[in-house]
Amino acid sequence: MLKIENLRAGYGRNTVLEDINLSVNEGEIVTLIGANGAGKSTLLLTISGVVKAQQGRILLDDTPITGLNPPTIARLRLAHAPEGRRIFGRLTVRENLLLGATVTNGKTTKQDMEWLLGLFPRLGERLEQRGGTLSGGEQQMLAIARALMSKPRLLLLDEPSLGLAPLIAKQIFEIITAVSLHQKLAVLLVEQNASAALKIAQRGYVLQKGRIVLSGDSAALLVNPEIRSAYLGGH
Amino acid sequence: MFEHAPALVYFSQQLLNGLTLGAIYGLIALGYSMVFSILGLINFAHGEIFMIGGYIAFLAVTLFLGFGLSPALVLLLTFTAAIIITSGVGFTLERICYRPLRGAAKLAPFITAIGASIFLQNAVQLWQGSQPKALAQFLTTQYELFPGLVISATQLLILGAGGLLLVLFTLLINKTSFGRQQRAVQQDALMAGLLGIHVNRVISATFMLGAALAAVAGTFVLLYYGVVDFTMGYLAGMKAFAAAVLGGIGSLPGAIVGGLILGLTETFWAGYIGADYKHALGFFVLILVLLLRPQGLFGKPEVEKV
Ligand SMILES: Nc1ncnc2c1ncn2[C@@H]1O[C@H](COP(=O)(O)OP(=O)(O)O)[C@@H](O)[C@H]1O
Ligand SMILES: [Mg+2]
Repeated sequence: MLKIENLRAGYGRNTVLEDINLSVNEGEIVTLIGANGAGKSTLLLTISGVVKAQQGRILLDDTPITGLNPPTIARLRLAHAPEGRRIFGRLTVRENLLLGATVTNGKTTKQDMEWLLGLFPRLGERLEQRGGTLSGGEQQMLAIARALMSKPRLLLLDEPSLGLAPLIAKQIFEIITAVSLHQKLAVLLVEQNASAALKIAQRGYVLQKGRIVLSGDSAALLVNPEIRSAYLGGH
Repeated sequence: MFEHAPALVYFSQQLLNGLTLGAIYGLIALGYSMVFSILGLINFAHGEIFMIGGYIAFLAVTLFLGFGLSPALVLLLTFTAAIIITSGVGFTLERICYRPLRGAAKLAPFITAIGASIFLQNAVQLWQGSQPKALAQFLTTQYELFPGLVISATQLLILGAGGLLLVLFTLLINKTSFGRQQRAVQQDALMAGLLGIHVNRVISATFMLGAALAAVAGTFVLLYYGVVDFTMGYLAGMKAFAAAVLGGIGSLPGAIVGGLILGLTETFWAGYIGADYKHALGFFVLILVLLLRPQGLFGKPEVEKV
Protein backbone atom coordinates (compact mmCIF):
# COMPACT_ATOMS: atom_id res chain seq x y z
CA MET A 1 0.00 0.00 0.00
CA LEU A 2 2.85 2.42 0.85
CA LYS A 3 5.96 2.12 -1.22
CA ILE A 4 9.05 4.31 -1.03
CA GLU A 5 11.60 4.14 -3.84
CA ASN A 6 15.13 5.57 -3.75
CA LEU A 7 14.07 8.47 -1.59
CA ARG A 8 16.42 11.28 -0.73
CA ALA A 9 15.15 14.04 1.53
CA GLY A 10 16.29 16.69 3.99
CA TYR A 11 16.01 20.28 5.10
CA GLY A 12 16.91 22.97 2.58
CA ARG A 13 20.13 21.86 0.92
CA ASN A 14 21.00 19.46 3.73
CA THR A 15 20.31 15.84 2.98
CA VAL A 16 19.21 13.71 5.92
CA LEU A 17 17.81 10.62 4.20
CA GLU A 18 19.59 8.83 1.39
CA ASP A 19 18.52 5.91 -0.80
CA ILE A 20 15.50 4.85 1.24
CA ASN A 21 13.47 1.87 0.00
CA LEU A 22 10.62 0.75 2.21
CA SER A 23 7.13 -0.67 1.94
CA VAL A 24 4.13 -1.20 4.18
CA ASN A 25 1.37 -3.62 3.21
CA GLU A 26 -2.31 -3.39 3.96
CA GLY A 27 -3.10 -3.99 7.64
CA GLU A 28 0.53 -4.55 8.54
CA ILE A 29 2.49 -3.08 11.45
CA VAL A 30 5.99 -2.12 10.39
CA THR A 31 8.46 -0.57 12.77
CA LEU A 32 11.30 1.78 12.05
CA ILE A 33 14.03 1.78 14.65
CA GLY A 34 17.21 3.77 14.91
CA ALA A 35 19.24 5.97 17.20
CA ASN A 36 18.42 9.57 17.99
CA GLY A 37 19.03 11.75 14.96
CA ALA A 38 19.03 8.82 12.50
CA GLY A 39 16.26 10.49 10.49
CA LYS A 40 13.16 8.54 11.57
CA SER A 41 10.96 11.57 12.15
CA THR A 42 12.25 13.14 8.95
CA LEU A 43 11.15 10.05 7.03
CA LEU A 44 7.62 10.20 8.45
CA LEU A 45 7.45 13.94 7.75
CA THR A 46 8.55 13.33 4.17
CA ILE A 47 5.79 10.75 3.69
CA SER A 48 3.16 13.18 4.95
CA GLY A 49 4.46 16.04 2.78
CA VAL A 50 5.95 18.35 5.39
CA VAL A 51 9.54 17.71 4.32
CA LYS A 52 10.12 17.83 0.57
CA ALA A 53 11.63 14.84 -1.22
CA GLN A 54 14.80 15.76 -3.10
CA GLN A 55 14.77 12.63 -5.21
CA GLY A 56 12.85 9.38 -5.53
CA ARG A 57 9.18 8.54 -5.20
CA ILE A 58 6.58 7.81 -2.55
CA LEU A 59 3.60 5.79 -3.78
CA LEU A 60 0.30 5.23 -2.04
CA ASP A 61 -1.62 2.44 -3.76
CA ASP A 62 0.69 2.84 -6.78
CA THR A 63 -0.13 6.57 -7.11
CA PRO A 64 2.77 8.94 -6.51
CA ILE A 65 2.14 11.36 -3.63
CA THR A 66 5.60 12.93 -3.72
CA GLY A 67 5.28 16.72 -3.76
CA LEU A 68 1.67 16.89 -2.56
CA ASN A 69 1.05 19.15 0.42
CA PRO A 70 0.18 17.74 3.88
CA PRO A 71 -3.60 18.40 3.84
CA THR A 72 -3.93 16.72 0.44
CA ILE A 73 -2.02 13.68 1.65
CA ALA A 74 -4.07 13.56 4.86
CA ARG A 75 -7.19 13.41 2.70
CA LEU A 76 -5.92 10.16 1.16
CA ARG A 77 -6.54 8.61 4.60
CA LEU A 78 -2.97 8.72 5.68
CA ALA A 79 -2.83 9.90 9.30
CA HIS A 80 0.30 11.10 11.07
CA ALA A 81 0.61 11.34 14.85
CA PRO A 82 3.90 13.23 15.02
CA GLU A 83 6.66 13.31 17.57
CA GLY A 84 5.79 15.30 20.70
CA ARG A 85 2.05 14.61 20.41
CA ARG A 86 1.19 18.15 19.36
CA ILE A 87 -2.14 18.28 21.14
CA PHE A 88 -3.99 21.58 20.77
CA GLY A 89 -3.54 22.51 24.40
CA ARG A 90 -6.04 25.36 24.51
CA LEU A 91 -8.77 23.34 22.81
CA THR A 92 -10.88 20.78 24.62
CA VAL A 93 -10.41 17.05 24.24
CA ARG A 94 -13.64 16.94 22.23
CA GLU A 95 -12.45 19.71 19.91
CA ASN A 96 -9.13 17.92 19.40
CA LEU A 97 -11.00 14.76 18.44
CA LEU A 98 -13.39 16.59 16.09
CA LEU A 99 -10.42 18.20 14.34
CA GLY A 100 -9.11 14.69 13.74
CA ALA A 101 -12.22 14.02 11.68
CA THR A 102 -11.61 17.00 9.37
CA VAL A 103 -10.92 14.84 6.31
CA THR A 104 -13.88 12.50 6.58
CA ASN A 105 -16.50 15.09 5.59
CA GLY A 106 -18.88 14.00 8.31
CA LYS A 107 -18.33 10.30 7.74
CA THR A 108 -16.91 9.91 11.23
CA THR A 109 -20.08 9.08 13.14
CA LYS A 110 -21.06 9.23 16.77
CA GLN A 111 -20.56 5.46 16.91
CA ASP A 112 -16.99 5.83 15.64
CA MET A 113 -16.26 8.34 18.39
CA GLU A 114 -17.89 6.14 21.00
CA TRP A 115 -15.88 3.17 19.83
CA LEU A 116 -12.70 5.23 20.19
CA LEU A 117 -13.69 6.45 23.63
CA GLY A 118 -14.26 2.81 24.53
CA LEU A 119 -10.61 2.18 23.66
CA PHE A 120 -9.50 5.24 25.63
CA PRO A 121 -12.00 5.53 28.50
CA ARG A 122 -9.92 8.21 30.23
CA LEU A 123 -10.53 10.57 27.32
CA GLY A 124 -14.28 10.04 27.59
CA GLU A 125 -14.17 11.28 31.16
CA ARG A 126 -12.32 14.42 30.11
CA LEU A 127 -14.08 15.51 26.93
CA GLU A 128 -14.65 19.10 28.01
CA GLN A 129 -11.23 19.52 29.60
CA ARG A 130 -8.51 21.46 27.78
CA GLY A 131 -5.95 19.26 26.05
CA GLY A 132 -3.11 21.06 27.82
CA THR A 133 -4.35 19.93 31.22
CA LEU A 134 -4.03 16.20 30.45
CA SER A 135 -1.19 14.05 31.74
CA GLY A 136 1.49 12.89 29.31
CA GLY A 137 -0.07 9.47 28.86
CA GLU A 138 -3.51 10.93 28.31
CA GLN A 139 -2.10 13.37 25.77
CA GLN A 140 -0.52 10.49 23.87
CA MET A 141 -3.83 8.66 23.90
CA LEU A 142 -5.56 11.77 22.64
CA ALA A 143 -2.97 12.12 19.87
CA ILE A 144 -3.62 8.55 18.71
CA ALA A 145 -7.38 8.84 19.08
CA ARG A 146 -7.34 12.10 17.13
CA ALA A 147 -5.41 10.43 14.31
CA LEU A 148 -7.86 7.51 14.29
CA MET A 149 -10.84 9.89 14.01
CA SER A 150 -9.92 10.32 10.33
CA LYS A 151 -10.56 6.58 9.77
CA PRO A 152 -7.11 6.18 8.28
CA ARG A 153 -5.82 3.25 6.23
CA LEU A 154 -2.26 4.01 7.18
CA LEU A 155 -1.10 5.52 10.45
CA LEU A 156 2.35 7.04 10.89
CA LEU A 157 3.11 6.94 14.58
CA ASP A 158 6.22 8.70 15.92
CA GLU A 159 7.54 7.53 19.29
CA PRO A 160 4.23 7.00 21.08
CA SER A 161 5.89 5.63 24.22
CA LEU A 162 8.34 8.50 24.72
CA GLY A 163 8.32 9.71 28.32
CA LEU A 164 5.53 7.38 29.43
CA ALA A 165 5.41 4.98 32.36
CA PRO A 166 6.03 1.39 31.17
CA LEU A 167 2.52 0.30 32.07
CA ILE A 168 0.92 3.06 30.01
CA ALA A 169 3.28 2.43 27.10
CA LYS A 170 2.25 -1.22 27.20
CA GLN A 171 -1.43 -0.24 27.11
CA ILE A 172 -0.81 1.97 24.10
CA PHE A 173 1.01 -0.82 22.23
CA GLU A 174 -1.90 -3.18 22.94
CA ILE A 175 -4.42 -0.71 21.61
CA ILE A 176 -2.40 -0.15 18.44
CA THR A 177 -2.23 -3.91 17.86
CA ALA A 178 -5.96 -4.33 18.41
CA VAL A 179 -6.94 -1.47 16.12
CA SER A 180 -4.60 -2.64 13.39
CA LEU A 181 -6.11 -6.12 13.57
CA HIS A 182 -9.76 -5.12 13.67
CA GLN A 183 -9.69 -2.17 11.26
CA LYS A 184 -7.09 -3.57 8.85
CA LEU A 185 -5.09 -0.45 9.69
CA ALA A 186 -1.52 -0.35 8.45
CA VAL A 187 0.92 1.25 10.90
CA LEU A 188 4.42 2.59 10.38
CA LEU A 189 5.67 2.80 13.94
CA VAL A 190 8.79 4.72 14.93
CA GLU A 191 10.10 3.69 18.33
CA GLN A 192 13.02 4.11 20.67
CA ASN A 193 11.76 1.11 22.57
CA ALA A 194 12.86 -1.33 19.89
CA SER A 195 12.00 -4.51 21.73
CA ALA A 196 8.39 -3.49 22.38
CA ALA A 197 8.02 -2.29 18.80
CA LEU A 198 9.46 -5.45 17.27
CA LYS A 199 7.14 -7.52 19.42
CA ILE A 200 4.00 -6.00 17.94
CA ALA A 201 5.31 -5.45 14.39
CA GLN A 202 5.42 -7.98 11.59
CA ARG A 203 8.46 -6.42 9.99
CA GLY A 204 11.07 -3.83 10.83
CA TYR A 205 13.65 -1.52 9.27
CA VAL A 206 16.76 -0.19 10.94
CA LEU A 207 17.78 3.35 10.06
CA GLN A 208 21.32 4.53 10.68
CA LYS A 209 22.56 7.99 9.74
CA GLY A 210 19.80 8.38 7.17
CA ARG A 211 20.22 5.02 5.48
CA ILE A 212 18.41 1.73 5.93
CA VAL A 213 21.08 -0.72 7.05
CA LEU A 214 18.95 -3.71 7.92
CA SER A 215 15.41 -4.96 7.42
CA GLY A 216 13.38 -8.09 7.80
CA ASP A 217 10.83 -9.99 9.85
CA SER A 218 10.52 -8.86 13.42
CA ALA A 219 11.28 -12.31 14.75
CA ALA A 220 14.57 -12.36 12.87
CA LEU A 221 15.48 -8.81 13.90
CA LEU A 222 14.74 -9.60 17.53
CA VAL A 223 17.42 -12.28 17.61
CA ASN A 224 19.89 -10.49 15.35
CA PRO A 225 23.08 -9.97 17.42
CA GLU A 226 23.86 -6.54 15.94
CA ILE A 227 20.40 -5.29 16.82
CA ARG A 228 20.53 -6.85 20.24
CA SER A 229 23.71 -5.02 21.11
CA ALA A 230 22.83 -1.69 19.50
CA TYR A 231 19.11 -1.29 20.21
CA LEU A 232 17.99 -3.91 22.68
CA GLY A 233 20.49 -3.16 25.42
CA GLY A 234 22.40 -6.39 24.79
CA HIS A 235 20.04 -8.75 26.59
CA MET B 1 -35.92 61.14 37.56
CA PHE B 2 -33.66 62.30 34.76
CA GLU B 3 -35.09 65.78 34.52
CA HIS B 4 -34.08 66.43 38.11
CA ALA B 5 -30.52 65.31 37.56
CA PRO B 6 -28.82 67.05 34.66
CA ALA B 7 -25.51 65.55 35.76
CA LEU B 8 -26.93 62.06 35.32
CA VAL B 9 -28.29 62.94 31.87
CA TYR B 10 -24.90 64.25 30.85
CA PHE B 11 -23.22 61.13 32.18
CA SER B 12 -25.65 58.89 30.29
CA GLN B 13 -25.03 60.80 27.09
CA GLN B 14 -21.28 60.36 27.47
CA LEU B 15 -21.78 56.68 28.20
CA LEU B 16 -23.81 56.25 25.02
CA ASN B 17 -21.25 58.10 22.92
CA GLY B 18 -18.40 56.19 24.53
CA LEU B 19 -19.98 52.81 23.85
CA THR B 20 -20.54 53.81 20.22
CA LEU B 21 -16.92 54.78 19.76
CA GLY B 22 -15.83 51.68 21.69
CA ALA B 23 -17.83 49.35 19.43
CA ILE B 24 -16.04 50.83 16.43
CA TYR B 25 -12.59 50.39 18.02
CA GLY B 26 -13.55 46.88 19.03
CA LEU B 27 -14.47 45.87 15.49
CA ILE B 28 -11.12 47.09 14.17
CA ALA B 29 -9.21 45.58 17.09
CA LEU B 30 -10.65 42.13 16.36
CA GLY B 31 -8.95 42.09 12.97
CA TYR B 32 -5.59 43.00 14.53
CA SER B 33 -5.96 40.36 17.16
CA MET B 34 -6.98 37.54 14.82
CA VAL B 35 -4.19 38.16 12.35
CA PHE B 36 -1.67 38.47 15.16
CA SER B 37 -2.68 35.24 16.79
CA ILE B 38 -2.58 33.23 13.56
CA LEU B 39 0.60 34.67 11.99
CA GLY B 40 2.34 36.44 14.86
CA LEU B 41 2.19 39.48 12.58
CA ILE B 42 1.20 43.01 13.53
CA ASN B 43 -0.68 43.92 10.39
CA PHE B 44 0.15 47.57 10.36
CA ALA B 45 -1.94 48.06 7.22
CA HIS B 46 -5.13 47.06 9.02
CA GLY B 47 -5.97 50.72 9.73
CA GLU B 48 -5.83 51.38 5.99
CA ILE B 49 -8.18 48.46 5.37
CA PHE B 50 -10.61 50.20 7.70
CA MET B 51 -10.12 53.49 5.83
CA ILE B 52 -10.75 51.77 2.49
CA GLY B 53 -13.94 50.29 3.95
CA GLY B 54 -15.02 53.86 4.78
CA TYR B 55 -14.30 55.07 1.23
CA ILE B 56 -16.12 52.17 -0.41
CA ALA B 57 -19.07 52.93 1.87
CA PHE B 58 -18.92 56.61 0.89
CA LEU B 59 -18.95 55.78 -2.82
CA ALA B 60 -21.72 53.22 -2.33
CA VAL B 61 -23.99 55.53 -0.32
CA THR B 62 -23.52 58.31 -2.86
CA LEU B 63 -24.18 55.95 -5.77
CA PHE B 64 -27.23 54.24 -4.33
CA LEU B 65 -28.78 57.45 -3.00
CA GLY B 66 -28.45 58.77 -6.56
CA PHE B 67 -30.68 55.91 -7.72
CA GLY B 68 -33.35 57.19 -5.34
CA LEU B 69 -33.43 53.98 -3.29
CA SER B 70 -34.93 53.86 0.19
CA PRO B 71 -32.50 54.52 3.09
CA ALA B 72 -32.84 50.94 4.38
CA LEU B 73 -31.95 49.50 0.98
CA VAL B 74 -29.08 51.98 0.58
CA LEU B 75 -27.71 50.84 3.94
CA LEU B 76 -27.99 47.18 3.07
CA LEU B 77 -26.30 47.59 -0.30
CA THR B 78 -23.60 49.81 1.20
CA PHE B 79 -22.66 47.32 3.89
CA THR B 80 -22.67 44.52 1.33
CA ALA B 81 -20.44 46.43 -1.10
CA ALA B 82 -18.06 47.62 1.62
CA ILE B 83 -17.71 44.14 3.12
CA ILE B 84 -17.17 42.33 -0.17
CA ILE B 85 -14.71 44.78 -1.71
CA THR B 86 -12.75 45.37 1.49
CA SER B 87 -12.38 41.66 2.22
CA GLY B 88 -11.09 41.37 -1.34
CA VAL B 89 -8.43 43.95 -0.44
CA GLY B 90 -7.58 42.00 2.75
CA PHE B 91 -7.28 38.78 0.77
CA THR B 92 -5.02 40.43 -1.83
CA LEU B 93 -2.86 42.07 0.83
CA GLU B 94 -2.13 38.71 2.43
CA ARG B 95 -1.44 36.95 -0.87
CA ILE B 96 0.88 39.62 -2.26
CA CYS B 97 2.57 41.08 0.81
CA TYR B 98 2.62 38.45 3.54
CA ARG B 99 2.38 34.96 2.09
CA PRO B 100 5.66 35.15 0.17
CA LEU B 101 7.35 36.11 3.46
CA ARG B 102 5.88 33.28 5.49
CA GLY B 103 8.70 31.72 7.45
CA ALA B 104 11.01 34.72 7.00
CA ALA B 105 12.34 36.55 10.05
CA LYS B 106 9.61 38.43 11.93
CA LEU B 107 10.98 41.83 11.01
CA ALA B 108 10.50 41.36 7.24
CA PRO B 109 6.69 41.05 7.22
CA PHE B 110 6.46 43.86 9.77
CA ILE B 111 8.38 46.22 7.51
CA THR B 112 6.26 45.04 4.57
CA ALA B 113 3.16 45.86 6.61
CA ILE B 114 4.37 49.43 7.16
CA GLY B 115 5.10 49.65 3.44
CA ALA B 116 1.66 48.33 2.55
CA SER B 117 0.10 50.87 4.89
CA ILE B 118 1.90 53.77 3.19
CA PHE B 119 1.10 52.36 -0.25
CA LEU B 120 -2.61 51.98 0.45
CA GLN B 121 -2.87 55.49 1.90
CA ASN B 122 -1.24 56.99 -1.15
CA ALA B 123 -3.22 54.85 -3.56
CA VAL B 124 -6.48 56.09 -2.05
CA GLN B 125 -5.20 59.67 -2.10
CA LEU B 126 -4.38 59.39 -5.81
CA TRP B 127 -7.70 57.74 -6.55
CA GLN B 128 -10.01 59.94 -4.47
CA GLY B 129 -8.00 63.12 -3.93
CA SER B 130 -6.61 64.53 -0.72
CA GLN B 131 -9.78 66.40 0.35
CA PRO B 132 -11.97 64.64 2.94
CA LYS B 133 -15.19 63.21 1.53
CA ALA B 134 -18.29 64.50 3.28
CA LEU B 135 -21.58 62.70 3.10
CA ALA B 136 -24.80 64.47 2.10
CA GLN B 137 -27.55 64.35 4.74
CA PHE B 138 -28.22 60.70 5.41
CA LEU B 139 -29.63 58.89 8.43
CA THR B 140 -29.64 62.03 10.58
CA THR B 141 -32.76 61.25 12.60
CA GLN B 142 -32.33 61.77 16.34
CA TYR B 143 -34.41 60.38 19.14
CA GLU B 144 -34.71 62.13 22.47
CA LEU B 145 -34.84 59.46 25.16
CA PHE B 146 -35.21 62.03 27.93
CA PRO B 147 -34.89 65.77 27.80
CA GLY B 148 -31.24 66.31 27.00
CA LEU B 149 -30.40 62.65 26.32
CA VAL B 150 -30.24 62.07 22.59
CA ILE B 151 -29.50 58.98 20.56
CA SER B 152 -29.10 59.22 16.80
CA ALA B 153 -30.28 56.62 14.31
CA THR B 154 -26.63 55.98 13.47
CA GLN B 155 -25.76 55.33 17.10
CA LEU B 156 -28.66 52.89 17.36
CA LEU B 157 -27.38 51.15 14.27
CA ILE B 158 -23.79 51.00 15.55
CA LEU B 159 -24.75 49.73 19.00
CA GLY B 160 -27.33 47.27 17.65
CA ALA B 161 -25.64 45.93 14.55
CA GLY B 162 -22.15 46.25 16.03
CA GLY B 163 -23.16 44.38 19.19
CA LEU B 164 -24.90 41.68 17.17
CA LEU B 165 -21.88 41.32 14.91
CA LEU B 166 -19.53 40.94 17.88
CA VAL B 167 -21.76 38.19 19.31
CA LEU B 168 -22.11 36.37 15.97
CA PHE B 169 -18.41 36.60 15.41
CA THR B 170 -17.60 35.15 18.82
CA LEU B 171 -19.98 32.27 18.10
CA LEU B 172 -18.36 31.70 14.71
CA ILE B 173 -14.92 31.33 16.28
CA ASN B 174 -15.97 29.31 19.33
CA LYS B 175 -18.77 27.11 18.07
CA THR B 176 -18.37 26.33 14.38
CA SER B 177 -16.12 23.92 12.58
CA PHE B 178 -14.45 26.81 10.75
CA GLY B 179 -13.73 28.48 14.10
CA ARG B 180 -12.26 25.26 15.46
CA GLN B 181 -9.96 24.98 12.45
CA GLN B 182 -9.02 28.62 12.83
CA ARG B 183 -8.01 28.12 16.46
CA ALA B 184 -6.14 24.95 15.56
CA VAL B 185 -4.10 26.77 12.91
CA GLN B 186 -3.39 29.51 15.46
CA GLN B 187 -1.90 27.06 17.90
CA ASP B 188 -0.02 24.70 15.64
CA ALA B 189 -0.24 25.20 11.89
CA LEU B 190 1.93 22.16 11.12
CA MET B 191 -0.31 19.83 13.10
CA ALA B 192 -3.42 21.41 11.58
CA GLY B 193 -2.02 20.65 8.12
CA LEU B 194 -1.34 17.04 9.09
CA LEU B 195 -5.00 16.74 10.08
CA GLY B 196 -6.06 17.82 6.59
CA ILE B 197 -6.84 21.45 7.36
CA HIS B 198 -5.98 23.72 4.43
CA VAL B 199 -3.89 26.15 6.46
CA ASN B 200 -3.52 28.72 3.68
CA ARG B 201 -7.26 28.88 3.14
CA VAL B 202 -7.84 29.38 6.85
CA ILE B 203 -5.30 32.21 6.88
CA SER B 204 -6.91 33.84 3.83
CA ALA B 205 -10.32 33.55 5.46
CA THR B 206 -8.94 35.13 8.63
CA PHE B 207 -7.65 38.15 6.71
CA MET B 208 -10.98 38.46 4.89
CA LEU B 209 -12.98 38.26 8.12
CA GLY B 210 -10.78 40.88 9.79
CA ALA B 211 -11.16 43.11 6.74
CA ALA B 212 -14.94 42.61 6.72
CA LEU B 213 -15.17 43.73 10.35
CA ALA B 214 -12.95 46.73 9.54
CA ALA B 215 -15.22 47.54 6.59
CA VAL B 216 -18.23 47.58 8.90
CA ALA B 217 -16.30 49.87 11.26
CA GLY B 218 -15.37 52.13 8.33
CA THR B 219 -19.01 52.32 7.27
CA PHE B 220 -20.04 53.12 10.85
CA VAL B 221 -17.50 55.95 11.02
CA LEU B 222 -18.73 57.39 7.73
CA LEU B 223 -22.34 57.33 8.96
CA TYR B 224 -21.48 58.61 12.46
CA TYR B 225 -19.14 61.46 11.57
CA GLY B 226 -20.38 62.00 8.02
CA VAL B 227 -16.85 62.22 6.64
CA VAL B 228 -13.92 60.04 5.61
CA ASP B 229 -10.38 60.97 4.65
CA PHE B 230 -7.42 59.01 3.45
CA THR B 231 -5.36 59.50 6.63
CA MET B 232 -8.02 58.32 9.04
CA GLY B 233 -6.71 54.75 9.07
CA TYR B 234 -3.51 55.76 10.80
CA LEU B 235 -4.82 57.02 14.14
CA ALA B 236 -7.80 54.64 14.22
CA GLY B 237 -5.45 51.75 13.43
CA MET B 238 -3.04 52.76 16.19
CA LYS B 239 -5.85 53.04 18.69
CA ALA B 240 -7.43 49.74 17.70
CA PHE B 241 -4.01 48.15 18.02
CA ALA B 242 -3.71 49.66 21.49
CA ALA B 243 -7.17 48.27 22.28
CA ALA B 244 -6.14 44.78 21.11
CA VAL B 245 -2.97 44.86 23.24
CA LEU B 246 -4.87 46.30 26.17
CA GLY B 247 -7.35 43.41 26.05
CA GLY B 248 -4.59 40.86 25.53
CA ILE B 249 -3.58 40.44 21.91
CA GLY B 250 -4.92 37.20 20.48
CA SER B 251 -7.93 37.19 22.77
CA LEU B 252 -11.21 37.99 21.00
CA PRO B 253 -13.18 39.08 24.08
CA GLY B 254 -10.04 41.05 24.99
CA ALA B 255 -10.17 42.98 21.72
CA ILE B 256 -13.83 43.82 22.23
CA VAL B 257 -13.41 44.86 25.87
CA GLY B 258 -10.20 46.74 25.03
CA GLY B 259 -12.09 48.67 22.34
CA LEU B 260 -14.89 49.54 24.73
CA ILE B 261 -12.50 50.68 27.46
CA LEU B 262 -10.67 52.88 25.00
CA GLY B 263 -13.87 54.37 23.57
CA LEU B 264 -15.28 55.07 27.01
CA THR B 265 -12.07 56.53 28.43
CA GLU B 266 -11.63 58.87 25.47
CA THR B 267 -15.22 60.03 25.53
CA PHE B 268 -15.36 60.62 29.28
CA TRP B 269 -12.03 62.40 29.23
CA ALA B 270 -13.23 64.71 26.48
CA GLY B 271 -16.62 65.17 28.16
CA TYR B 272 -15.38 65.97 31.66
CA ILE B 273 -11.84 67.22 31.34
CA GLY B 274 -11.32 68.50 27.84
CA ALA B 275 -10.53 67.42 24.32
CA ASP B 276 -6.80 68.10 24.76
CA TYR B 277 -4.69 64.94 24.95
CA LYS B 278 -7.75 62.87 24.03
CA HIS B 279 -5.82 60.94 21.41
CA ALA B 280 -2.87 60.30 23.67
CA LEU B 281 -5.06 59.01 26.45
CA GLY B 282 -5.59 55.57 24.99
CA PHE B 283 -1.87 54.98 24.89
CA PHE B 284 -1.49 56.20 28.44
CA VAL B 285 -4.09 53.67 29.58
CA LEU B 286 -2.32 51.03 27.51
CA ILE B 287 1.03 51.71 29.20
CA LEU B 288 -0.60 51.64 32.60
CA VAL B 289 -2.27 48.28 31.98
CA LEU B 290 0.87 46.75 30.52
CA LEU B 291 2.90 47.82 33.54
CA LEU B 292 0.48 46.04 35.84
CA ARG B 293 -0.48 43.13 33.61
CA PRO B 294 1.97 42.61 30.72
CA GLN B 295 -0.21 40.00 28.99
CA GLY B 296 -3.17 42.41 28.79
CA LEU B 297 -6.52 42.06 30.52
CA PHE B 298 -7.65 38.79 28.96
CA GLY B 299 -4.31 37.44 27.78
CA LYS B 300 -3.13 34.27 29.45
CA PRO B 301 0.49 33.45 29.99
CA GLU B 302 1.16 30.30 27.96
CA VAL B 303 0.49 27.13 29.90
CA GLU B 304 1.33 24.18 27.74
CA LYS B 305 2.94 20.91 28.66
CA VAL B 306 5.65 19.66 26.40
N1 LIG C 1 13.65 21.21 11.10
C1 LIG C 1 14.90 20.78 10.87
N2 LIG C 1 15.77 21.54 10.18
C2 LIG C 1 17.01 21.13 9.93
N3 LIG C 1 17.50 19.93 10.32
C3 LIG C 1 16.71 19.11 11.00
C4 LIG C 1 15.35 19.49 11.32
N4 LIG C 1 14.80 18.46 12.00
C5 LIG C 1 15.73 17.51 12.10
N5 LIG C 1 16.88 17.89 11.51
C6 LIG C 1 18.10 17.09 11.43
O1 LIG C 1 17.80 15.90 10.75
C7 LIG C 1 18.46 14.80 11.33
C8 LIG C 1 17.46 13.71 11.65
O2 LIG C 1 16.57 14.17 12.63
P1 LIG C 1 15.25 13.36 13.00
O3 LIG C 1 14.57 12.96 11.75
O4 LIG C 1 14.49 14.18 13.96
O5 LIG C 1 15.85 12.08 13.72
P2 LIG C 1 15.16 11.01 14.65
O6 LIG C 1 13.69 11.19 14.56
O7 LIG C 1 15.60 9.70 14.10
O8 LIG C 1 15.67 11.23 16.03
C9 LIG C 1 19.18 15.33 12.58
O9 LIG C 1 20.53 15.51 12.23
C10 LIG C 1 18.54 16.65 12.81
O10 LIG C 1 19.45 17.56 13.34
MG1 LIG D 1 12.35 11.64 16.02
